Amino acid sequence: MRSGRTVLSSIISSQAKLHDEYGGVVPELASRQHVDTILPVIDKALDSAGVALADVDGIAVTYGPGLAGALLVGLSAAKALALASQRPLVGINHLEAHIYAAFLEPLPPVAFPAVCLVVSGGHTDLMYMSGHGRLSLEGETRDDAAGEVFDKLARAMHLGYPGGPLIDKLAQEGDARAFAFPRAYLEPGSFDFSFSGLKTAVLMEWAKCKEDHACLPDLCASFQAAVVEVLVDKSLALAHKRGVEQIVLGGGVAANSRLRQQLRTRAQSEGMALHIPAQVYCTDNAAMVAAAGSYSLERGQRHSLSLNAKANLSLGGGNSASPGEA
Amino acid sequence: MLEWISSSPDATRSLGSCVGQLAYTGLLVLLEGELGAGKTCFVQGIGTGLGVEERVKSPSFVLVNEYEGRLPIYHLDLYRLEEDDLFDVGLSEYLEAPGVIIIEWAERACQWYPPRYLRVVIEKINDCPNHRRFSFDAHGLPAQQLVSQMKERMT
Repeated sequence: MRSGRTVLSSIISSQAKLHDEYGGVVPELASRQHVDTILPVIDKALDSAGVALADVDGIAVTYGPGLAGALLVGLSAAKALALASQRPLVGINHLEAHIYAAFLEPLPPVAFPAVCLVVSGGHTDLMYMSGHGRLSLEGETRDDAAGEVFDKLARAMHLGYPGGPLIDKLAQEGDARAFAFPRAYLEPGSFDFSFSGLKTAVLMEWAKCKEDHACLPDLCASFQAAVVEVLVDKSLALAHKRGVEQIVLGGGVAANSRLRQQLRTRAQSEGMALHIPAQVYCTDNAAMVAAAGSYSLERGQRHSLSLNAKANLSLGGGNSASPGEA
Repeated sequence: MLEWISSSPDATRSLGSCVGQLAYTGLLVLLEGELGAGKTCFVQGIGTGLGVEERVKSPSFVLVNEYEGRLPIYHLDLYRLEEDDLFDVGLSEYLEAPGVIIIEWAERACQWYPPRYLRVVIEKINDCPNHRRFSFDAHGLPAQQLVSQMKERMT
């Protein structure tokens, strides 16, 4: 990564195939697999960037939120690299990294302030970003994350894993108005989300029509429309409330075609700039962590080698460097 | 055995809150019920009853969430696990944790549990989309006492 915008190399070692048989990420498998793959991945990343470890200015690493075992593998490797190369270490919040995926070239630069929506298997978070590293959480899911509902429904309907792309594909052949699924807007003025009621409603319709799979496309299309409508409405509402003209989308569900299209249409008609990372940077990747790290280092942030993994790290929950962080 | 019909997610949370208020260190709650039955909703109530200020969310993705209330709470979800993986997840360590342990999709690990627990089965009721039947099945004296206290409070 150069200057927070230019990716020199990005190597992704996917575990999707490994986790496929379990219908999701399994922590112990995840961390064991991480141990096996991390060193070859680091070598390959340096190689294809054409740089040596000594040329690197700093090491950025995710330290939360996430599965503790997997985080520890990354942290240990990053600390070893920082120690060996005598370069600074900076810990990054995984959610913040998802936002920085939208800062990568060739996308135009993001101006501040911005409203950021990160949607994945573990998160549905709506944030206000006033500057680099200055984020506040304005809304989040109260039960299931949007991506989690995609996965759970795909599993219940025997479609496979990961559920998002499979439902997205089926939805394209279906009628989004075939089923009137509930949209949970919660109390007026709330930017929180809730998807478990929608999940239950879809399951009930599925129970009625599962004998013949003909309902699947309509079911998927109507479900997806319900999720996307609330995500888009709340993002735009927050942007209007805070007088923001920049919207950033991130996380694995940002790959969803309807979400991209609806957000684009609404942003355009309401005069807002929309930043959506390339598909490959929507799902987890190291380039976004490096981008976030590069701005953090520029601001003078550093973490000591005693930095610990924080499985439920919150935004602003200690992302600023403090010496001797335990 | 105690049976209770909940007529809404809010009623389910109140029921959970009652369990949370009566919870004690070492209480193991085994939750069973299909997808969308209201397991997480019930646990949100337990959290409230235990004075948890944080938001209790579905642990399906992370497998374990921990909360601080009047007692520590360990909220596990075995949804995506098979029998063979339970050891890897560290289930036996959690079963000995000093607090309230709540396990969703508990039926996936039947032979792992100690003899004292509160089993809660949640069933959807045909033709009543918002109604759920709760069956509380207490094993061991502390759990039995909890259930009889629940009965007193609810009637």
